[in-house]
Amino acid sequence: MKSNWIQDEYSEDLFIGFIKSIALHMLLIILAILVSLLLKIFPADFLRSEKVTIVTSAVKVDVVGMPKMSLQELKNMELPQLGQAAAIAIEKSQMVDAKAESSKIEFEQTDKKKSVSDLLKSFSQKKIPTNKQLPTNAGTLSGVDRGALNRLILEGNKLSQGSSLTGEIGTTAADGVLQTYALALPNQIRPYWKLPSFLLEQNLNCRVRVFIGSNGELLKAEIYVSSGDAEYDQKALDATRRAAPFSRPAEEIIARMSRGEIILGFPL
Amino acid sequence: MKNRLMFFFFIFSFIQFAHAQDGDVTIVSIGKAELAKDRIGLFIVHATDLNATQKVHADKVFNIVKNDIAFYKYHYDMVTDNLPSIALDYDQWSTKQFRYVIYLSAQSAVGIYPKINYQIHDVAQKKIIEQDSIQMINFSRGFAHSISSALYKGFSGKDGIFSTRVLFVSDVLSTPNKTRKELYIMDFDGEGVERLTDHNSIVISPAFSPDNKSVLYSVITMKNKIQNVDLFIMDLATKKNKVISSKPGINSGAIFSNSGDSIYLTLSYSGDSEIYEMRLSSGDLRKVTNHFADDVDPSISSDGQLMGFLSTRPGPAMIYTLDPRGQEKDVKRISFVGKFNATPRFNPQGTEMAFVSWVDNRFDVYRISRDGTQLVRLTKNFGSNEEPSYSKDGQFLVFTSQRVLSKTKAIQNLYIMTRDGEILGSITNQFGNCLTPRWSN
Repeated sequence: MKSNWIQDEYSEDLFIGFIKSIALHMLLIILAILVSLLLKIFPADFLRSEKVTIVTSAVKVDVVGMPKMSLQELKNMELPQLGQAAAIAIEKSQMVDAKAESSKIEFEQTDKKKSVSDLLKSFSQKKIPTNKQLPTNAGTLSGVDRGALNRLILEGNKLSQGSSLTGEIGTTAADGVLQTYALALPNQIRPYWKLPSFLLEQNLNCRVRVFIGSNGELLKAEIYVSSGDAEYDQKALDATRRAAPFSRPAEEIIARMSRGEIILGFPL
Repeated sequence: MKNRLMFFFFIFSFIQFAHAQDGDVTIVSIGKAELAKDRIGLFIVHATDLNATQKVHADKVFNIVKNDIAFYKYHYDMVTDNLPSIALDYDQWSTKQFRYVIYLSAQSAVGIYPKINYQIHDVAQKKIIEQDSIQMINFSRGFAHSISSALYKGFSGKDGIFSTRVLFVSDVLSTPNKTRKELYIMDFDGEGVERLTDHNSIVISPAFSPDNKSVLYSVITMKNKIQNVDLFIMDLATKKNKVISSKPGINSGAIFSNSGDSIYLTLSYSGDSEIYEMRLSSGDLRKVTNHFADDVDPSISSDGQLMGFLSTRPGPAMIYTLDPRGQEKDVKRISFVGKFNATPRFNPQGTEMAFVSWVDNRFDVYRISRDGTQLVRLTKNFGSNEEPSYSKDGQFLVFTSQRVLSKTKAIQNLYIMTRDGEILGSITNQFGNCLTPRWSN
C-alpha cells in the first residue's frame, strides 16, 4: 500500500514535470515568434547581436564669422592621409640621416693630420668643441626612434579633423587603435566615392564590411546592409576596392581587421 | 533544481555563442559621395552635300549648341569633336567611357536652310534613346537653343537653362550730367539684349512672374520735388506698363507669389519698411512682417511656405525666414554672422538660399540651406560680388561682379557660376554697369 502510494507520488511528479516542460517549450516557441516579428519590424542592424560602435570623423565648428575659404578652396584642399604622413616622416628621417652622414664626414675631415698653419688657422677661428658633438647626438637621439619623433612632429603640424565628439576613442587601448585606424579609412576611400547624379539625388545608404589583411590589403569587401539599389551597392564596393590597399594596421588589431570588424557607411 | 540550472546554463551558453559568432563591429562614415561626371560625346557631322548658305546656317546652329552645352561642363565631362560621318561603335565608345554619344548633323534640303538631325545614343544600353530631324525655316538663336534643350533633356532627363532669360538694369545710357538706369532683358548666354523701359530715371529691383510673361520693377520718381519709389508692372509681350503701388516712400523689392495672383513687396508708408502681400486683382494689402525694425528683400520658396527676407531686428542686417501665409508667423533667424548681409534668394527648389555678405571691404556670395545649416562661401578674390539669382534648374547663379579700375572708376558686369562657385564667365561686356540680374523661371 505504501509502495503504491509512493509510485503514485512519482507519477504525479512526472506528470507535473511533463506539463512544465510543455509550457516551457510553448514559451520558447512564442518567444521565437516574437523575435522573428521584431526582426521584420526593425532594421537588420538594430537587432544584430554585435556590439556596434559608430565612429564619426567630425569637425564641430562654432561659426563666429563668415567662412574665409570658398567651397572651391575647400574642395581642392587635400587632407594628408596616414600613408602620406608616414612617407613624409620617412623622408624627413632620411634627411636627418643625411645630416648625420655629413657630420661624420666633418669628423673625418677634422681628424685628419693637421699642419702647424692649419692649427693656427683653427685657433684663430675659435671653434667650440661642443659643436662637433651636436650632430653625433642628433644622429642617435639617445635611443629614441627618430622616425617616430618626426612623425609625431608632423602629425602635430597637420590639419586635425577631430575624431570624436565626446573626446574619448574606444573603451580599451585596442579599441582606441582600431577606431583611430577606422577613422583614417574615409580619407582614403572618399576620392573614389563618386556617384552619377541620378543615384546621388536618391539619398540612399548602404554599409560595406571590410576584411583587411596584416599589410593593409583588402581581403574581402561585402555588403553588410544593402541600400536596396544594386548599382549604388556596387559603387560603394568599387570605391572600397579601388582605395585598397589601406595603411598597415597596428599589430594589436590585425586579427580584428581580418575578422571584418570595420563596417563602412556610405554615407553612414 | 539541478536540471533548472542546467537549462539556464544551456540558454546562456547559446546566447554567448551567438554573440561570439557575430563579434563586435565599428561603423565609420565615409560621407556623402561626390558627383561622378558622366562623359558625353557631342559629335558634329558635316554633310558634304550642303550648299554654301546652308553650311553657314548649319555652322551657326552648331556653334550655339556647342556653347550652350558647355554651360554644363562642370556637371558633365563633355567631349566635342567634328566628324566626317556617323559611325556607330558602342564598344569603342564604351572603352572610352562615354555614357552618352550625341550626333548632330545637317542635311541638305530645298531652299537656303538645311535640315538639322540629331541622335542621342545610350552607350550602356547600345541604343538610340532620342532622335529628331527638324527643318530650319529661318535662322534664330531661339531655334538653336531649342535644339540644345532637346539634347540636354535627352541625356540628362532634365530641363536645361537654354530657354531662360535674364532681366537686368544697366546705366549704359547715363551721361556725365545724368545717371540713367533702365531695365533690359537678354538670353541666358548674354545674347539678344533688349531694352524694356524708357523712364529716363533709375530702375531698381526687377522680378519675373511665374509664367515669365510679366515683370515687376520699381522706379525712382519725382513728384512735386519729392522723391518716391513707385512699383510698376509690365506685360513683356506688349511692353505696356502701369503703376501698381505708389504709396509715400518705398514701393519696391517686389516679387510674385508662386500662383502669380499676388505679389510680396516692401512698403514704408507706415514709418518703417515692412513686407506686405498685395492682391493684384484688387490691390488689397496684408501685412506679412510687423516689427519696428526694417524688413526688406523678400524671396519665396517654391512651395510658398517659406519666405526669406532681410531684417535689421538685431542691429546689423541678418537673414530671416517666416511663413508668409501669416503675419510674423514662425520667424526664424538664419544668419548669425557677417557685418552686413543682403539679397537672400531662394533656389527654385526651395532648399537653399544664396545671399551676399560684407567681408574684407567687399561683398561676396554665400549659400545657406533653408534651415540655416551648410553655410558655404561661393566667391572669393573675384571683385565685389552681389545680387545672386538662381537659374530655374538651381544649378547656376547669375550675379554682379564689380572691378575697381581706378579711384573714380569701376565696372560692374554680370557673371554666371555654378551653385558650387565654379565661375563660367561674364555674360555682359561693355554695356555700362549692369545690376540686379534676375533669372527667369
